[in-house]
Formats: sequence, structure tokens, C-alpha cells
Amino acid sequence: MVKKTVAVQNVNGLDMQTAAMVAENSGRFQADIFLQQGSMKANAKSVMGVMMLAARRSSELTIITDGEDEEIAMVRIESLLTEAFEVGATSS
Amino acid sequence: MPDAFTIAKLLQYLELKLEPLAGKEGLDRRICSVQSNRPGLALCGYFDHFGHDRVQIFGNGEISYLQQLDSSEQYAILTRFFSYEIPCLVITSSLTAPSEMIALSNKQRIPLLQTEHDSSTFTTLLLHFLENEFGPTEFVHGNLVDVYGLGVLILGQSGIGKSEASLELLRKGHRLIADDTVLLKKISEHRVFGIRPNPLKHYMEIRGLGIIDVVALFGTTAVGNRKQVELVVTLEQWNSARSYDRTGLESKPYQFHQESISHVVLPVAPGRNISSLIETAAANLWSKKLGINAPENLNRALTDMMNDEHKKDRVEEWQHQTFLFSSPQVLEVEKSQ
Repeated sequence: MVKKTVAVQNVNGLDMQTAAMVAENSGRFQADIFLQQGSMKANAKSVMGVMMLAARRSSELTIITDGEDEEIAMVRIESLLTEAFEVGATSS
Repeated sequence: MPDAFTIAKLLQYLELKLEPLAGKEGLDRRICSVQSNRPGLALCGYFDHFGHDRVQIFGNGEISYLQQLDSSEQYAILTRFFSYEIPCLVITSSLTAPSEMIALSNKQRIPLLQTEHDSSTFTTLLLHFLENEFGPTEFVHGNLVDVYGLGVLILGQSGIGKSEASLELLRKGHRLIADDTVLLKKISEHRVFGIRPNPLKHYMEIRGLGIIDVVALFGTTAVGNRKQVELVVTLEQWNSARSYDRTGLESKPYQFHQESISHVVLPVAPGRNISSLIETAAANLWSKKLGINAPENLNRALTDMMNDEHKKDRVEEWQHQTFLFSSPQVLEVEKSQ
């Protein structure tokens, strides 16, 4: 199991589209992936779960990965959360 | 655009109540525009921008204007009028055609028709028929089912289960329009109709069962002949490399001749009941039409929450709201805490 605490950098925080992207990416790993904020812990593979956190920009989250590919999963999810991108900004 | 839409064919539309008065030798003339023209300005001598390639409608105004002209004026203006290449003239409200008009119509072989409809009714009917005739068409491989009053076009590769999904929808009380082949036709702006090709009648092919007669099995209320297509559902084999829509915030519409139709791509996999998903997609589209957009509403609530300085106080409320819709996966994780 790998644990790491990061600050969310996505421009809109974990809004619906960002949550969908996190869930989509998490789903590609075999490892269990969770996002924890205080007492709330969400399965990162579930869009609804990630949205539940209502994590805004620069709030701190702990990423927990557990499974065969936990190391790569951690790198991928960490980079997703710490990139200052804005989903849908170009398409809409 | 069909190149053979002739006046003779127009006469076959009985609803238009057209009677040829003169110029019958010109019944093979073609109509090339869906619009019609009220030639008032032309009759007054102004022929710039004269839409001569359209059906010319002579109503009360035009006929009474002609009648009050003296015969030489009338002859002069009508001669000029008939010198243009006109598909046909239509006199509405069963008005009497001036004799000059009949003579010129025969001479120039431009059909002169009469209808008992008044001008505005006739213009509307004509537009409807011509749009129907001129719209771009295409045959697509798919099924068309009327689900909750919305025409749903089901597309997908052979053997993916389009007919099976349609059959299930039928059994749930929805209406089959076409199986296997649908004729799509764009009618006027923003409307695409799906039509059942005549020869196929209401038969369906179900693999393993062969051909079944839908009317015989489910009754006449289970079938229809045409329906506006408002939702396109593409069925495809679940492809783990492909990402499917998780939020419903953005969707790529299905394009048919510059017309956009709502589109969902449904991956087929064990445990996914396709007919229920199609029913839900139709219900969801209906609710969107009524102004209820679930993903937008939820996203707005979420964004409001994140922007709220007193978030901490409201976390419980939010958590509660989320849990009402949460997947079992998430609930389990929470329980194990």
C-alpha cells in the first residue's frame, strides 16, 4: 500500500468533469485507489465518490493505492490532481 | 434532391386537391424549389428578383388585380409573365382563371392548376409535401423504436443485439417502427424522420427464431410507420481501451445532413440490460427537454459547495445528498471505516 498527501491543483477543484477524469484514469489500474480527505474516504474509481469529497483547489487529499500496480497508479493519480488544468475549458 | 419531381407527380397528392385547367402538355415540367411565390410584384411589372423557378400562387389578390386591368394591359403583362420558365401556376380558392391565362398556359405549355384550398392553406400543404419530397434521404442499418413518444434509432454492428433490444422494448409496450433498415429523411429544418421501407412490412428477424410477424404477435398498436428521430443509441462491444461517458455533461451529437441528433454510445456487456438502458436514455432526454439536466444540476450544487466558505458546516448535508445516489462500492468503503 502506498500513501501520499497532495494539494489539489485543478483549477475548478474536483468538479464533475475532473472527477470523471480521475475515475476514468483510476479505473485503468488493477490496484484499489482511494482519496481521503479528513474523515471522508472515496473510491477513486467512482465518479460519485470523488465528487462527494467536494475538494476545492489547494485543499489537501491523501491518495491511497493498494495492489500490484500501486506505484504507477500513484504516479498517475498524483500527476492528475496536481496539474493545474481545467477540464472542458477548451471544448466549451 | 430527386430530379424527377414533376407537376404530374404533384397532381397525385390528392390532399392538395389540384385540378389541371390548361397547359397539360407541360405536366412533365419539374419543380426544383420547395418555396412558392405570390407573383404580385411581377404582375405589376416589376420582374427583378422574380422567383420564376417556383410554383406561382394566384390568390384573390392576384386574380382581382388582373381582372381590373383592361384586356390589352392584361395580355401584355401575362405574356411577359409566361415568357419565363415557370414550373406551374396554381389558382387557389377555386377562382375563375382569366381566359388570357388559359390561352397562354396552353401556348407556352406551362400547366395551370386550380385548387379549392385558400392560398395560405395551399401554401402550407405544398411546402409540407415539397419538403418531404426534397429532403435528403439515406438508408441506415438499424432499428427505430418509439420509446415514450421519442423516436429512438438503434445502431450497431450486425449481431450486437439491436433486434433483441427492440423486441424487449416492444414487450415493454413501446412501438416498433422499423427493423434492420430505416430510411432517414431530413424534413424541413431540425427534423429528421425515420421511415420503415415499405417492402419490409412489420417483420423482424431474430437470430435463432427467424422471421416473426410483429403485428400478428403483438397487435397493431405495437407498430408504426414513421417517427421523428430524436435520439440515436449506438450499441457496441464493451471496449476497455475506450472511455465511455461518465457524467453526461458533454455529448457528441449524431449528424445527419447538418442536423444534430442527441446521441449515446452504450457498451454492451453481461449484466447490462440494453432495453432498460435505452428506456432510461429516452426518459433522460425527455427530462432534459423539460429543463431538468441532472449532471448540470449536480455539478452546480458541487461547485457551489466548493465555493462556499462555510463548507465544513455543510459537509454532512452534502455527504448525505451524495450518499443517496452513491454506488454500492463507495458505501462499502465507508462502512469498513
